[in-house]
Amino acid sequence: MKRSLIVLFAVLVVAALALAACGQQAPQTVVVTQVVEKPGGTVVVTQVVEATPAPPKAKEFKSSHPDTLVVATIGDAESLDPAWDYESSGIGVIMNLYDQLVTYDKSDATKFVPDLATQWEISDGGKTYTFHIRKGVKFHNGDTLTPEDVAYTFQRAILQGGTDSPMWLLTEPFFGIGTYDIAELVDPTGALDDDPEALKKADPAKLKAACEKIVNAVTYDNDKGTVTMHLAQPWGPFLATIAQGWASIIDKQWSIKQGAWDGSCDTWQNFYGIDDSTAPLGKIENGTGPYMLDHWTPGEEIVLKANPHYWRAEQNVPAWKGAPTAPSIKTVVLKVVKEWGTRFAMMKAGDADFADVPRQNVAQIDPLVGEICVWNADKSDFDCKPSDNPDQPLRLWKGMPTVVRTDVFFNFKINTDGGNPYIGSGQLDGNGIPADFFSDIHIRKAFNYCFDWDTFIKDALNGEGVQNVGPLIPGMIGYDPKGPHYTYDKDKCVAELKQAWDGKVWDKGFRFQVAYNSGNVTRQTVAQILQADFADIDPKFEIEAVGLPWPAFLNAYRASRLPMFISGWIEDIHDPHNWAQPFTVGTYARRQNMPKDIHDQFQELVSKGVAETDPAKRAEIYKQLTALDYKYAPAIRLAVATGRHYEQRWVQGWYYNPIAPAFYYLYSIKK
Amino acid sequence: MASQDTIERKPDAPGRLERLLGPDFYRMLKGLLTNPLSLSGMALLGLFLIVALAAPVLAPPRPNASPYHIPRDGFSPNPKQPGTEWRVRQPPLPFWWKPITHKDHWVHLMGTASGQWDIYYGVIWGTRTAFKVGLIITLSVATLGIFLGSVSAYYGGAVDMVIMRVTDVFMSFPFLLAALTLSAILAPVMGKSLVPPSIALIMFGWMGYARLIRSDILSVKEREYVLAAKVLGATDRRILLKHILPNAIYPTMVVASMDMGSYVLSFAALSFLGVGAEVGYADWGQLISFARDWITNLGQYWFIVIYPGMALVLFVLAWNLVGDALRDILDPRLRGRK
Amino acid sequence: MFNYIMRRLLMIPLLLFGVTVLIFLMLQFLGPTQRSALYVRDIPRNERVLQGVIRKYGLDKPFYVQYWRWLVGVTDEKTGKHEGGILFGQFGYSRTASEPVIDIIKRRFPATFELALWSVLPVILGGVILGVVAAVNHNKFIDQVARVFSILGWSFPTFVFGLLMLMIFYAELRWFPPGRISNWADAVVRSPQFHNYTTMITFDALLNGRLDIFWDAFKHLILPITTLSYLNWALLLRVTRSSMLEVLRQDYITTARAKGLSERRVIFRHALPNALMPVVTIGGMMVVGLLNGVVITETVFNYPGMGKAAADAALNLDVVTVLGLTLFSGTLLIFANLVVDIMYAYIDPRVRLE
Repeated sequence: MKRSLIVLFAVLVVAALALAACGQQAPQTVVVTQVVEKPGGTVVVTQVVEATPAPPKAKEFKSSHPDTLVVATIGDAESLDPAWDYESSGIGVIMNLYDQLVTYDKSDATKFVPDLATQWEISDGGKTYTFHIRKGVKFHNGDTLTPEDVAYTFQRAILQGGTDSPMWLLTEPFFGIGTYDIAELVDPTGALDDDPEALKKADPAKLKAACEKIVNAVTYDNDKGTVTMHLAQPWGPFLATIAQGWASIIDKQWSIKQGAWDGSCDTWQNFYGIDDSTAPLGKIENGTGPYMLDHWTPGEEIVLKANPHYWRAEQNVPAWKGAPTAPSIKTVVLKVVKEWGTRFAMMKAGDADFADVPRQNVAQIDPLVGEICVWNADKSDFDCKPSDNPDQPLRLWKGMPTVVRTDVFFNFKINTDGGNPYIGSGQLDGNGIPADFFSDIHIRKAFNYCFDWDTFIKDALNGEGVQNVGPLIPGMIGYDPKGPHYTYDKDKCVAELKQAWDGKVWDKGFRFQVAYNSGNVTRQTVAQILQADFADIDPKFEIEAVGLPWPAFLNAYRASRLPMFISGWIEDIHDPHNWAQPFTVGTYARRQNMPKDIHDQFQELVSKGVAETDPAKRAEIYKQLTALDYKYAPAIRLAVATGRHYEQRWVQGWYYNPIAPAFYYLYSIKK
Repeated sequence: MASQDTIERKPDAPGRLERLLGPDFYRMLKGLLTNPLSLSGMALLGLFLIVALAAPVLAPPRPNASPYHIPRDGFSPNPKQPGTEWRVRQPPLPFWWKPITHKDHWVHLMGTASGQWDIYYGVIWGTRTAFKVGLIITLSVATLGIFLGSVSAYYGGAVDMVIMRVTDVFMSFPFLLAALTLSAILAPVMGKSLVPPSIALIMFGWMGYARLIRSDILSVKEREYVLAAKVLGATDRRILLKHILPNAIYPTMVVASMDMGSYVLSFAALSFLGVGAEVGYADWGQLISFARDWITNLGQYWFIVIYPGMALVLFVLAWNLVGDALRDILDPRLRGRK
Repeated sequence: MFNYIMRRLLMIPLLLFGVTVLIFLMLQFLGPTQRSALYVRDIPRNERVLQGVIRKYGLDKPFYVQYWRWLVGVTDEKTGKHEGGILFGQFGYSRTASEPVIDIIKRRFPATFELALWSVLPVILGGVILGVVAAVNHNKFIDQVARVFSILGWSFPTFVFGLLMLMIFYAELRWFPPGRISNWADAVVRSPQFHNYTTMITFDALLNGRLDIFWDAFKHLILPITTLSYLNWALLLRVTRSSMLEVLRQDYITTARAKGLSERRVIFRHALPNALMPVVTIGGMMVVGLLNGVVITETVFNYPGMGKAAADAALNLDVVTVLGLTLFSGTLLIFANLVVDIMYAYIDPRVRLE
């Protein structure tokens, strides 16, 4: 026994020595091969130089992996089913795998160029769209694209439904304003939404009628090579609506084989409201796009391979003027790296070509920037010049307008069923708030006057933002930077507080919790600024900032349990409706339990606004909407920040389109 | 063999102090005071204790605000270097500041962390939190463990069986993960404070003590003096409290002294993962977690890790040094030749 | 011995029952709505669907009803379709990881196992060597240095130490990258020519004769191993040291010395083998701990192991994943502890299994 232990021990020692030896020599050899800046290095390096006749400065920055693009990102895709996924990371991947009928003219969010449709006609006063489908396009599995595939794509997507999916963007133009789900054609009250079991039990005749409605709305003619779409009403932003991931064209035959909708109106209800774990197209793809899915390891990485038979290359059709026809990067690795320090280290070491840089971390990475490209609003493009440290390896793009905003929302009628930990005692006794606390306009105004925008913009947004006026964002039809808005004013805040609840608030004070999803530093800062601003007036005005895990936050928010919540919106289509609708009547307004009289006033303007085709009249409607928003102050409209993007200087070909989701640009990237 | 002389030599006759304190306690105290490691450990602890007690003088809190809430100078994510002046929401000047520096304004002595939390304030008041967390958790864990362990050992049979199986169940969880889960579940229910993470750590921390005290009691139980007490008709509780526990308690003390540091570390780990105290509470772990994103730029922002990190490491180190020395002294196997 | 093992094995279902009851009790702090995530992927927006799930699985019923339905599942009265039931292997679908819980375990456990295997040597060996050095130089300067050095490691918050290592050895020196494998090597590993025998990359690389892949994968392991080692040495040092000190004062060592054997021989041939016995227990427990994944080390080094997955799930209150992974970890712990106990009894004849 003793001897065997000694032998074991000896083995351990030898092994340890061997390990130690490895640990000493090998790193040096690795360093030699990896240090790419070395002038006149290995053969591999010289080859790269010859292959890319780049401007002199690019010569200094060469990637050790010229064929592979590595993106260090925070978010993983949720699903690859185009009709289901409704978040930026997933849609970004989908847009590289699939094509749509039309696409953006490079960086312009409102101008569209042919993609899988070669041309289109709009008739019937804007209610009918006829698309001519491109010939000779092959899916990744070799199938040929037909108009039938296109029609099936839209029919299946809408029939699959789900109010968590982006389908409301399509149901509104096809079935009318206010229709958010196909199930509402069966039961207009919305009781069947997201309830596949109940839908299956609905009247078969009604079910079939609902399905036929969409089948008749999207018709195809294989011989003529056209697809025709009949809308319920003219829809100004319709092309914008079908230029994104959710309108990606899929292969009918292949999809049916994978278990998606079989194309029959008798059985569609069996394919309604799938969830991600059973979604047949959730983890696979068969698009026509420039990249193909190599593999997806959830939570770790998505790897894409260039499509060798990409139709743009074979038919020589660049997407926009000056665009390449074939993707230049052979392999794209989208690596999920949640820890900022690790992402930073990957950028510093040159292993990542792009990385997500949260705004709170820019001061760390800025010293690595050797070239700065600043947005020039006059010519809608960037001006690039070397930074103060021109030898640094990164390029920074900054100053471009974005289409993302975070706001603070008040809940007019807080759900207190079964107790509510967020509102303290639930009474105006200084130790809580009543459920209808925010139904008092003076409270809502007080909160608007007590928010310090300047500090928010300076500290949380790095000084790169402007206060937002009303629910729309700057640059949109009807947005007026001089429109009515609140400013930080302690005296007015106090005056409003004194009037609120007949002076009871001023006497007793209040205490409640404001929630944000934990990990989001900007939202956390918003909560803390409110907290500090009220504490400055009097410690009896107590706001606690609580970070909740995302699902917990979502639950409490959906159940309208949060007295006040901080949330953000990324627009889906660059159109005022995509802001007016969710912020005053849709998604957010519903969770805020806005009273009916306020809601109806907003709804009237929203419906008028989306139907109006004359830009001047439309602008006027949205100005009225902004005035109404100021009058009722249902939320604190914060600020829109300008964007930042960091990349290695050996990367070429990135461009900025404010509306496009993450990674949309892969096809034009060169290294 | 230098190892023999220091430990084995015993005074020939017990002195007065030894008689007063009892032989075990006397030996422990003497050992602690003669060992350089434990001495430095105790010196460090003394220093921390002074800082904790003098916190209101060293870093006066803002009026009308909870002293455990670190005051912050704005909201910017970029840390400020030590010595930068306070701009907004400045707490009162400590009385000693002006005579020493002849300046009227308060500065960030140790700089600010990401989010402009004053590091100096956090380190000072965090000392109190560290003692609180360490003491409360360790005491609770030890009490719970000792209670269950001694009941289990003393009564034996079915009681022992049940308690030990429950212990096994609790031990089947990976510690940090279990604490993390419970803390994450409790935080939305109870609100974020020191309580949920403390409960979580206590819930999954007591098993070691239960096992330790149980095995110690089992070995003490059969000793003559316990048997004698039984024969004399002493009650169970009396035997347990008067005779068994005092003799079995020393190994527990060793573990407890080291756990004081470990629990502060575990608490810091929970804070790092985001399920610790509420944001802005004066807690070293959280102060370090503010530095989480900046650690890769340590050359420039060393102070956001070094100050709270040093406090945390030294605090844990101090308890461990004392515990390690205690262990050396109390380990019966090291008490001289048989 | 046989009886003992049998008895311990019989105890396993009982322990697992206890484990599940305990987690289920913890879940009672959540509302019925949040618990519905046990059965549906996303908590339904439709209030009626939500109420349906709550009714079906008795989520608003007393604890034992919920527990029972979770255990055996529910049979639909009309369709006769059986749904759920952990006893039927329905581990569920993880929302945080976007894949079935079983797949997380299948994919992540080999990674964790690989890291654990490679860590065993440096963690235990380093601790033992330090312990022996300290014991042999008892109360001398070297003893104090070794102890302070290791206790210092023990006192370090893992995340601080880990991030410092990453800063120095990756961001500055570029020697050891985070993650598990480089992209080029990953492409090779995924290619059909590369056989995945164990799904542990280092071993597969050796079996495939690809030293370059082995070295690449190993490079990724070095920083986590170093961190785990330094942070854990104190415990082993302490055990080895005191055990060694005890042995060194035994009579037979004195005899050996008296015989005139060299000090080196006395220590390595006579003292150390006996002193290592308690080390086996502590070392065993440490390895078992490593097997369950090391939350913070994996997070910092972006290593795709079990600990990271479980921590992500817990932080997001992803109850399905937490339950599934805890059950797996629990089972693993119970078995591993059994193995350690048996091993200890086998090595040390003084221990008798009862």
